[in-house]
Amino acid sequence: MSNSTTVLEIDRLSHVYPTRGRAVQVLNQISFEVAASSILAVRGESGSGKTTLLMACGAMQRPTSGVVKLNGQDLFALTARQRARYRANHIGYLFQTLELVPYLNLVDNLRMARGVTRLCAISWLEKLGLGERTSHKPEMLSHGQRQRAALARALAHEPALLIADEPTGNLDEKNSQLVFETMRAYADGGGAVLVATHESRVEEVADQVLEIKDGVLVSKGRETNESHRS
Amino acid sequence: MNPVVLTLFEIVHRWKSSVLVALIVASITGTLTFFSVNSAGYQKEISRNARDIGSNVVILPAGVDQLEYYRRGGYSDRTMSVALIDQLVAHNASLNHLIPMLEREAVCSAGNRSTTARIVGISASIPMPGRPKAPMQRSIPDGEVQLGSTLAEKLGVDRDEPSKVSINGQVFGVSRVNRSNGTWQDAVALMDLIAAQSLFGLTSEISRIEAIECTNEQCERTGLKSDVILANELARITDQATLLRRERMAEARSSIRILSRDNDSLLQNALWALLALSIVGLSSLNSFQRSSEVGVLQAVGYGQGRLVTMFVLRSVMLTIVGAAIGITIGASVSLAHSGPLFAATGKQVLVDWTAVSRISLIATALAAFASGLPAILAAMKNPAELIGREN
Repeated sequence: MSNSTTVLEIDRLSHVYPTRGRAVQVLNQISFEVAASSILAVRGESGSGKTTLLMACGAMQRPTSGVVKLNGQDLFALTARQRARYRANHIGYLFQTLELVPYLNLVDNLRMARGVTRLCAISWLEKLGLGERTSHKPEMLSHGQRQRAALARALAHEPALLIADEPTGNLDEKNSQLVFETMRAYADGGGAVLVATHESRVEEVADQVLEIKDGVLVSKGRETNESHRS
Repeated sequence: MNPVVLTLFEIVHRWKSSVLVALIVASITGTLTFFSVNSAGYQKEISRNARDIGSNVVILPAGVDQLEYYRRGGYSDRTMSVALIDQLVAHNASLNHLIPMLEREAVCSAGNRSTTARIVGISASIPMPGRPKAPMQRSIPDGEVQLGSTLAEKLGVDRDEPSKVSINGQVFGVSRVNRSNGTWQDAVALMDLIAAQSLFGLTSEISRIEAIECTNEQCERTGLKSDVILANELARITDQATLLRRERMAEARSSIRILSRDNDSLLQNALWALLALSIVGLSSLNSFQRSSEVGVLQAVGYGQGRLVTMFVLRSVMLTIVGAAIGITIGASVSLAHSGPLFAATGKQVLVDWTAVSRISLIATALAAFASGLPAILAAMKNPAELIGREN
């Protein structure tokens, strides 16, 4: 099923949240792949299971069943310690809630990622237009700037897979454009990107778009054209 | 990034919360230190005041007619050997502050005034081995007497004027006129025991021994009453003496000591509980509130050990700073105020470094435990369960 360029392989992934009284199935038998140098966008309404899917793909939520493979490695066959190390080395995660560490400046926030030097951190911040803000703490930035800083942190250690959960939520058009362009550039450089969004503009940059509804993949998506690849 | 550096960044960033935590720890450890340091002085002061109530045990020669003894105001002509003191010491009797006395009635004269009075030869109080205490009774220098206030008045001896009295024809300097305390002691002349034995030709003889009972431990251990324990002990040591016990005085002394000990203990336990609750509450709260941060740190590759270290370090650092401030202030204030507080002992109390170390160590251990446990529990969860959580 997988080929040499497949970075992320999801096979029959299901997840059930046990709640008092009844179990809630948020993902049901989902399968897809993300290849290197490509962006796969997952679209769906709020509550459709996008975040749980991304968390499972990012090795942060053990699914009830199914397999998540990154570069051929079954992530949930690893021990917690091995998985944490593997995640730190190979996955960059842009959280919906950003989760920048409030007491660190931007450079130090980026240096939290494994193997990121000061120079590397500054370089990424400059790429995302935050060169003047390297010593600022998150609370001193606008939402758009924080979003870009969080994206820089997710990319700074050059992971094989970038996972972005609603990366343009509440962003203005200019900032949204910058975020999508950065993800496209990262994919064009050989990285794989999995992005969850409900923004239609994602089709302009994504190679493939999947639709998810009530935890089920309702559309295997469509291959978007090659024109936006650089 | 080094967990120590991260912790310092976090402490500085949330400086208001950090200062508040340190101040709360400082205020409680300070109060605890104050009471802990003063506790020794407090117990000593209570002990001294209880002792100064007076002797509650009297050992008299066997065969003393008690009715006659009481009728004459606690006086008897019978004597016994002073060697009984050595026997009591050798048997480690449950007594302390043994004061041997020889009493006789004799004619006292000063100037042209003269009267018959009780003369009491008295030695310095003798501590039992293993129970060293400040002397309850100091020795009276040979050649001097101390007069009770009523006797001094009868003889026309002025408190502030150097005087001499003649007892059985032998002249003594008056070293002091004691203040009235409303007892038979106001009508006696006190002198050195050996001098009295020589004066009355009763070498190595004494009329009685006054003492304070030390039977609390034995009463608790055996369940026997104090008078039974003492009577049994004396019977094993000699058949030449009998024992009188001033029951009400003994009970008063005992209840004062127990009450003060219990109150002191209750107060200190309450402060310990407050310290423990505060540290556990504050440290746990910090760890719980930052569980989302644990998820993020896990996501970027922080292992359980480094995460827990960060949280424990924060609590331990703030607790150590708070405890250092609290202990310094608590100890300084208690040292500065111990003089006026403890008038009877009159000594400045010393800092009990063992107690201070215990306060610091327990506070630090509590902080480490209370912050470490929630951090461990959080670090064991999937990051997805922690990220974005509102606490």
